[in-house]
Amino acid sequence: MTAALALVAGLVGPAAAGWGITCWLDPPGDRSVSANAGRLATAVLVGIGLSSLIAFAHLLAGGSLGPRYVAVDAVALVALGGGAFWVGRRGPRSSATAASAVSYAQVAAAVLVVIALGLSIWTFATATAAAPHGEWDAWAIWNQRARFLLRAGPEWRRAFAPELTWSHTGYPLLLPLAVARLWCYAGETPLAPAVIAAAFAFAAPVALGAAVARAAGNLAGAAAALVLLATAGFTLHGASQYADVPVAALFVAAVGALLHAGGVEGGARLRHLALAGLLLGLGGWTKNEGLAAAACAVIAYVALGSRAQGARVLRDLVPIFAGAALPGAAWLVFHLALVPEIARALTTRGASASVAQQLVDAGRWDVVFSMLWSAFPGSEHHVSAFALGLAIALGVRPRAMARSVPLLAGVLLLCCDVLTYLVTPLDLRWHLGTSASRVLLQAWPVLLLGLFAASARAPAAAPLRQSAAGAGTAVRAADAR
Amino acid sequence: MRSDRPSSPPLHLAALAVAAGLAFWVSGSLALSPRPPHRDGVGDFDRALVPLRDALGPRARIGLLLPTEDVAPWYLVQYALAPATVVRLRAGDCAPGGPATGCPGDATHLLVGSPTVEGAAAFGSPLGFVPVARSAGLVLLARSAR
Repeated sequence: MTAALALVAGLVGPAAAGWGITCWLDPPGDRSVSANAGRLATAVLVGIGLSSLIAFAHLLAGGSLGPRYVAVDAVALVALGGGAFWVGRRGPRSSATAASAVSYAQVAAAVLVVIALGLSIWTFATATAAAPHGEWDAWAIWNQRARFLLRAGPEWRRAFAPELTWSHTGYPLLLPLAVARLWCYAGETPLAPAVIAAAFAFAAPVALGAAVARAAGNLAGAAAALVLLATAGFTLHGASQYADVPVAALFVAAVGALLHAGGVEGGARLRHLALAGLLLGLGGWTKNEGLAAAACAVIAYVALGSRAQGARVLRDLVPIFAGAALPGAAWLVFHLALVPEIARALTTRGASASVAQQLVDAGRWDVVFSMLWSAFPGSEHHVSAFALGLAIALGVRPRAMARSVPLLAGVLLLCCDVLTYLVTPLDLRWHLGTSASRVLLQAWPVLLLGLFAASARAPAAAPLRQSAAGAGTAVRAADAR
Repeated sequence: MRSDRPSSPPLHLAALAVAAGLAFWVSGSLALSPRPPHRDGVGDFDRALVPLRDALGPRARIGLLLPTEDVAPWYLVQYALAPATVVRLRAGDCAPGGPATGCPGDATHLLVGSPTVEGAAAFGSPLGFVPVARSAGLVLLARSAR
């Protein structure tokens, strides 16, 4: 019981600091339940990510993790969250949305999402009870690293000893540090990695639903969240404590911020872009594949944005990179100073001739596509077919899909996955069989975002219109007269 | 009386109902699907190795000798005994004339899969290691202070 309370205390700090930062970068002008739920989900993601960066800075500065670290952590989080809150209050206020009537359908949609979330949490909890230490990668990689970082004290660099190369010492540290940090609060309990895993697994559908709701209305948002909650692999791999679900959560929250940035101007646009950059950077700090996801998101944003805005879209890269600066710097320090494995891997990759040979091998293409198809998220329940049908029923517009940043970003990430498998130096079938079902999850919520955000907005949730008085008050343009 | 609440198109409501039905169906089938009996194998092994971990210093470097080529027990031992580093040995590594990269000269401990302490001691004694703890079919030997 004490451990559980300490875990809660360990989570409240990052969530509160994340809330301060999220409300600064995405001011609560829209006070709808879905928008605030989305902000809360983003706050949790940002808070956990930043708390791991604080822990990393503390280690690099010569500190160590242990019960005494709690004070350092608390002070840093209060300073960070309080500072962001203070800056947010001093800055220009976002226009407040006038209270709008909520339809019975919207209330029902919210209730259905909450019930589905509850059922999914039950599934997560039973899977966690069966394997409290998580599945293979969780204990062999992430939680093992967390144990080193905590137990070794000032000698935490032992976590990257050459003898441990089999445990992928080159994987970044967001998850191990987030877990080790919670252990500083609650002692070494398997509940800590499970709680971190749950935070990511359940922030993702909420962030997805909120982002879709902003673009296409609450019913479409609820439908998108329900489809993700219906993806059994997402919940189960989340409970396995694999890093792919956190990458997916950060990716969808980031692309949601990018999507929203495209619809606003001025300082609000810059802040949303910075928030997207921060989330993308944290994705790279979670797993190196997160960098590929970040690159796909930026390429999609620039490629589609340049059609509408020309070279102006390139200026948007400045706040994105500014947002990603902290996690990006941590990633660089980690890979340059601590584990230069990735630099070695890039320079000693097999001969380009053999890579080219793999790329033109029709047999490999066949194996990759057939195994990726059968491992596609939700394939056992035909979830992707349901998603497509639901999007059509919600009035998905093909032209909007063709201009969709999330859809292009998700498809690009899938292409990266295909290429990675095609040139893998490992046994192809083994590599696909042991990883495809979870790796594909990284793109899945963003693909759902692209699909459902391209739906026609229901009349009940028509776009906001600035009032002619220009007093900063937005009113609902719709509706149900 | 006319309601001032906005309404939604029937197709959208149908889509919402289908999405909810799908989510409930999948969650229900997961909840009702038969599961193997609950056994936390990793946790059991982890707890069993606590006495060995207690016998290790913070800078321990362990040579692990197991009668299997499967990597899972090695990885589990590493997980349980962190921050000690565990290097896997093979039977011939520590024999006279074994490979130069074999039995690590800088190991502070050996961990031997053996049903008896005597068997492990017989292996470790010529190498200068003596048994200090035993659990889960593993015997921990520390370098003797000769």
